[in-house]
Amino acid sequence: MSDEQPTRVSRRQVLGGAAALAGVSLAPGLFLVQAQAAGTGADSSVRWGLLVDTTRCPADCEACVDACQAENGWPTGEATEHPQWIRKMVVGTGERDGAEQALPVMCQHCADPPCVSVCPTHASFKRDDGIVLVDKHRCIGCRYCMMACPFHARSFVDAPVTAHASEGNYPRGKGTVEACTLCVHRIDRGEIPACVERCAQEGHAALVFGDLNDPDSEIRRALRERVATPLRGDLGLDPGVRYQGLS
Amino acid sequence: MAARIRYRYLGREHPFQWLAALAGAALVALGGAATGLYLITAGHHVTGMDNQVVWGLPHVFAIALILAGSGAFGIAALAPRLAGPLGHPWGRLGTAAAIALLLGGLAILLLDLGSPQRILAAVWLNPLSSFSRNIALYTAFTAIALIHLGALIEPRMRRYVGITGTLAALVALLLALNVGSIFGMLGTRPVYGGAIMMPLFLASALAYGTAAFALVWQAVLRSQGQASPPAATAWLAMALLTSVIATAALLVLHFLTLLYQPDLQEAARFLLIDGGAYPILFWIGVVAIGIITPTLLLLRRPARARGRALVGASGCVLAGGLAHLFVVIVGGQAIPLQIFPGREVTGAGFDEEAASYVPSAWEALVGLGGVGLALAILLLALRVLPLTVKHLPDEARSMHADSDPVTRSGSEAGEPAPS
Amino acid sequence: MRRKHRYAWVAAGAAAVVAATGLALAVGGAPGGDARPQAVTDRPEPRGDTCIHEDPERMRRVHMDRLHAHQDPGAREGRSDPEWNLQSCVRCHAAPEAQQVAGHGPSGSEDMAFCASCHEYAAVELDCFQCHSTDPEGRP
Repeated sequence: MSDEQPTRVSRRQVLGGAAALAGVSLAPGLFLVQAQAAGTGADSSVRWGLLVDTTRCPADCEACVDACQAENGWPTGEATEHPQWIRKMVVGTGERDGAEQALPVMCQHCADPPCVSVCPTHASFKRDDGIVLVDKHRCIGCRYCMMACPFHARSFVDAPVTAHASEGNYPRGKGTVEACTLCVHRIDRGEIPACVERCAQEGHAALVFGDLNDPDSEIRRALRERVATPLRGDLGLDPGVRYQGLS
Repeated sequence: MAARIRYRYLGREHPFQWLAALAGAALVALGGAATGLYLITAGHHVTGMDNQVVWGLPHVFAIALILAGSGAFGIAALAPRLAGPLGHPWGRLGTAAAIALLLGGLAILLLDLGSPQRILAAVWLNPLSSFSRNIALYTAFTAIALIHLGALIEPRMRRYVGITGTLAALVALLLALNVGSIFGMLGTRPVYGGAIMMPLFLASALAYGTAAFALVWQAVLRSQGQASPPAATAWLAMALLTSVIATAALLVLHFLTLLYQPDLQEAARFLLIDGGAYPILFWIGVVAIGIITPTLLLLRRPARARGRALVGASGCVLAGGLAHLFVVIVGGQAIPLQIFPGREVTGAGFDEEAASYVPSAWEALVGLGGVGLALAILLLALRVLPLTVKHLPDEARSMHADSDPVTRSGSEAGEPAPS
Repeated sequence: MRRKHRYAWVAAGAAAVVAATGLALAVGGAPGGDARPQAVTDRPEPRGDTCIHEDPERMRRVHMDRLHAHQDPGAREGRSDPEWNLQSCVRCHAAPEAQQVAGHGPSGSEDMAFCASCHEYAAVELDCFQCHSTDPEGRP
């Protein structure tokens, strides 16, 4: 190593040059993208909830399931092989001739969702207004949320989704996990979920939808009249879906 | 001590055998990759996995490989400290085997994802999720283990062997515990027993890792025409025996905790008695083959010094490990969730009855593809890196004739000139 | 290996790379060239008179960043910009029946030949329409 190094560049110069180069190449990108989305967006002062009156839910009625299929485009079939956003369950009391209770079970939109805490990519997330959703842009299809859900609410889309134009009103694609969205696309337009609407049309009116944070909403008034319990209350998840008439 | 160990490259004397082995492993790995691509394009409906059993055979293989990788590094790092000069030669081979096993397991996990192309966008990870902690630990382990391997091989980096080895061992330990937390931290599946999954998987990692490393080591010795040195073999066999007994003890604890809780007794009974395939796999695969047979094989001191007993026991431990993971992972999912505890329920199929899961050929291909990849990586590493030892320390005074030609690997590995 | 052998190998490798590049250029022609790529000339025309957002040249370069910037507000925060959500793009850019090229683009994207034509040429995966609808009436 000789002492004569006339063209020696100091380390400081190299680092400074590199930083300048990086800044110059990044600067256009910083100005390129300015996302100013219109619309008000999810409001954190609102908490959407669903109330199910099981005394008005007939055991042989599947109107809510049909409505959800028509609205969201998931196929019919055996639940273990096909997606199932909502299903009817009939619960006995344990006695042989005991009374039965029927109820629809869907994503319970918990305030402390186990699916959100186990999702590695933040694909499973809770929106500001309480709706628990799957961000398909981030979902890698690892199915860990399906393991974590106590209600078996989530399904894996394991076959290609065909004919988009004729199917549902919410994006769904192969290789991701999906579940009841509380018809978020309808809520954002100011409408109510499809299952609630159809249940009312059928005359049962067993489903009530509304803002749990608004003391004057229909759902809060109904909750004041009769006790409602969540499913698996022992888990402490504080779901947005409550059930009346379950013993 | 290290100066007297001369390392060599495997495969120079018998290149065709090495190439044949590599071709076989690469073919299996390619088969797994092709199947993974098929699953991505066709969708998982072609597999036996459904909405109830969401993790099937690929996860069984993947977790077995990942645990084996963590455990193999544990042995490679612990051996020089606990076994003294006997353990020194295992450092390089064990580290390379650990990295290969881990990468094979990771490949399976990636291939089994529903949308793996989106993982590139997942820079924002959720630290609460065991999966994302695992991603951080896999990366850390691979990086530190590679540096450790470099430190072992390159004489100018020798002084970093201690620190990198300790760091890598720590990360391997955390990795095994975190894999247990994937299942243990699911409040909705109490059949996993909660926190006990973590030490159980740590003990399993040591057992599978020791078994996998023992098989690799014995295969390397066999291919070099060397006999298994008695003292080293006995030490490794003792390590395997200890980890098998530890795993068995924790397994007993796991099921005891289930049986003690009235609401979990049905789940325990399903796995142990009336669940169909799962009790069979448990009692024959896990208990008879995975625990009792290796224990009997290695119980007596003279048996431990023989390579054949070690190989047999290792194979049994790995088979039992696969069976255990199948019972834990798949059996745990097959049990219906108790949304209404104690009540009679009709609803979707998965509410009413236990799932019947029949793995498809695709899942087996993906799982074996990962094993093939691990083998291929290991074979390549054995060829291009000086990992294997010509003369084991306690062999130096033995009567084995030195029939192997002196290779250049001694000087290329930076060893001082032979005396 | 001895030093001069090493240099010889490196030089031979570099020469091989240069030769291969030269061969590729000679056979395939310079990139870009004079004419526009076939993919762009074959592309179905969007409805409407002009692109409502940017001039086409700029959109070609920045559309992915624009879409990406509106992804999270739309999907995660419920702030879906009526001009910038994917449905609004599909409304103009979905090819009518007569202009659909069969087999163009990944399955489910035949009616998005406008996008698929360039994406196929550039070999960039077009992942949007696995989930999103290509219905020009605007259903998501």
